[in-house]
Amino acid sequence: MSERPRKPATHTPRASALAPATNGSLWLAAHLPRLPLEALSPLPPNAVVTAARGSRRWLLCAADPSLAAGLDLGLARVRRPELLALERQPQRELQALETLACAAYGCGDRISFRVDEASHDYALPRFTLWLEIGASLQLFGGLDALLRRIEQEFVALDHAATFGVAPTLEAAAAIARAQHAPVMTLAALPDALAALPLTALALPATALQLLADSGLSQTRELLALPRADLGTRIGSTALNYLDRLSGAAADARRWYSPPLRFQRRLDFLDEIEDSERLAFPLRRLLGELVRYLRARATGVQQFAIELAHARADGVDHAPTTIEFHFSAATRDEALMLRVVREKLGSATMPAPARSLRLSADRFAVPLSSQHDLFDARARTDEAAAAVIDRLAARLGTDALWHPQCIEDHRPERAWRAAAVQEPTAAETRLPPARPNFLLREPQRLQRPPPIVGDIERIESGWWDGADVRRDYFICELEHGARGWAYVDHRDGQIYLHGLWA
Amino acid sequence: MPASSSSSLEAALAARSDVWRGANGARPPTETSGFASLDARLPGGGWPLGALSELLLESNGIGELQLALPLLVRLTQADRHVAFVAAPQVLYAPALARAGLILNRSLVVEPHSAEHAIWAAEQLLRTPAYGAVLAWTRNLREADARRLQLAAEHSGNIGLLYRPARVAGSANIAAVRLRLARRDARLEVEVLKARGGRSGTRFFVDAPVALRVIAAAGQRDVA
Repeated sequence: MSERPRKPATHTPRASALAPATNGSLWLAAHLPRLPLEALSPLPPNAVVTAARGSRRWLLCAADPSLAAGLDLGLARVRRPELLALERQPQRELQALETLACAAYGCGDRISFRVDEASHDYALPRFTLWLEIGASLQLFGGLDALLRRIEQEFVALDHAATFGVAPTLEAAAAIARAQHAPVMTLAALPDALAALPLTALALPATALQLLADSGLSQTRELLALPRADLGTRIGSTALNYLDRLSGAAADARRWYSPPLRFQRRLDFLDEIEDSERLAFPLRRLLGELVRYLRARATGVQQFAIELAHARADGVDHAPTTIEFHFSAATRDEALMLRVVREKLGSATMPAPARSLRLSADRFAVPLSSQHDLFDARARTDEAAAAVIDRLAARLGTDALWHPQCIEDHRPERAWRAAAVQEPTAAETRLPPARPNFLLREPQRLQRPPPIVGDIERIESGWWDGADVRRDYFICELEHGARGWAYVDHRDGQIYLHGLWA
Repeated sequence: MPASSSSSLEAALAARSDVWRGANGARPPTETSGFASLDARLPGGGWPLGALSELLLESNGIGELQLALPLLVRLTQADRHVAFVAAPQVLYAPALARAGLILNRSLVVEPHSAEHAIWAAEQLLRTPAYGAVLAWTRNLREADARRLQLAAEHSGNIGLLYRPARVAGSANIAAVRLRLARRDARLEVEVLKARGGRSGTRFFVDAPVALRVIAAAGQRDVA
């Protein structure tokens, strides 16, 4: 008997990650043909990213669409002598995939990505990202709406991709590469697979060569071959791939989850001398940080950037590290960018910068963001925190503080300047009558001023070596001002300590 | 006089309960200063919102901060923030706490230059979270005053500028300009300018009712 729809999911047999694809799972695959180039952006229009093996060097992708991927670099240079050939940066490619995974996190349950390196000369690596969308289709109002949403995320990150939808991971990837129509059920899969060109499949080059040698050019013909025959012809790896493609075998993956620490590095094509020009790479890395924070449903309270410098005038310069603190955890990209630019604007670089690293490892759930519900109180505090961050970036954190009371009899120790990032408890005690202004350093008065009111004896502190024996009083000063002065019984002098402002 | 002080107490408490009715969006053009005698002379009955008010003084320490404290206390107790920019001395936490100010919603800014002070005051005035910004300036250029005025207009916040008495004769764009002095152990206020009101009046301002209430509560705690 077939499953009844009302049967609870926990009673379904073999409902594990290793089970063959069922009607329950549906995969979206994104094929990213231009990732090597995109990972290095921004690039000039004459830039191409190349792969090399031995003396051979060929194009992986070019900003100029008339230069085909796989073209020999020597041939390409004949057509475009001004080409700027760049090496691949595999680390940046993985970071770009991670950022896309973070951006897609809210749209699906399980995420995975993979880079299939080219196995022979002039071949191209394949970059694929998968997202399980079966459970979120309804949430997003159907496949079209979900696809639009994911496309927006990719476009926002400047990535070109083609998408495929199918009940198995490999089928979704092959459909994405061939740009065929979505396949929503396992029942519809065989026909859809049969219609794919062989080149859309992720078969090893040797297997493809064997198939071509035996006159096969259609996936339909390949899938029609007897299984035992197929195994001996193309090998067990390729056979397993075909089983995962059709859903006959399970496809075990490691699912992506954002790491506990965020770290990104960007190497510049040219040395950057002017801190204004750092804005673009910074914006890019902050965008990646914000996606990461959203995927982890958290915010950042502190992060650091490190600029590695070029050797200048025969001198090696130590990297410049700049830390940024926020008074409240945030994942507001615009706020971060403002704060970073404000602080960089007032910083001078000892030498041109070669690369930029952004790292964050202290996270806290923000009070609110545009993605969450918030109340007016949190919004006010957050807006106050945002402007404080901007002020701190320009004036320095030392220039900003909250007054805080400390329980101490000595007036100069009964307060402190609490850092604005520091959470302070509300005051509960009622302090004695005190002047609104305190002088940082008591000022010696040459002659005794007229005394107004009572005298308050303050004696304290002998136990920590700062003992105090003073008689405080309110006094009249010039222009009708009132001061708070004391007689110091250690030297008999009179000092002004505060103003009744 | 007991009769008049109890009626102004009622007035102050009434004013206190209906401040910042954020929900209905109807923001009054002024906010009570907490001093009946001052409110009576200010157009609209208090510190103007979205505008600058100037307080001119011969010397620090004549009770100039006392005049602003009831406003600041009420704002911070209503979850708003307040800021002090370039104050001439350390704002002393015990005194502010005693007055009822919520200290972690009170920001002290100590800029290194006059230019930074103006910039900081402008940023804070522009931010709606800051109900009031107090700034001390020695030489305020007209262009800077205009920037501050625009920032206050943008947010509807109250800007209070402490300036030296010598600028009294100069032109200005502030909505209110008061000269403060201490005479006979009391704070005397002279209205030099009050847009939409009467200038030239001179009167004494005594300790605000709200502060007396808090002091009385404190005495109960001690007893």
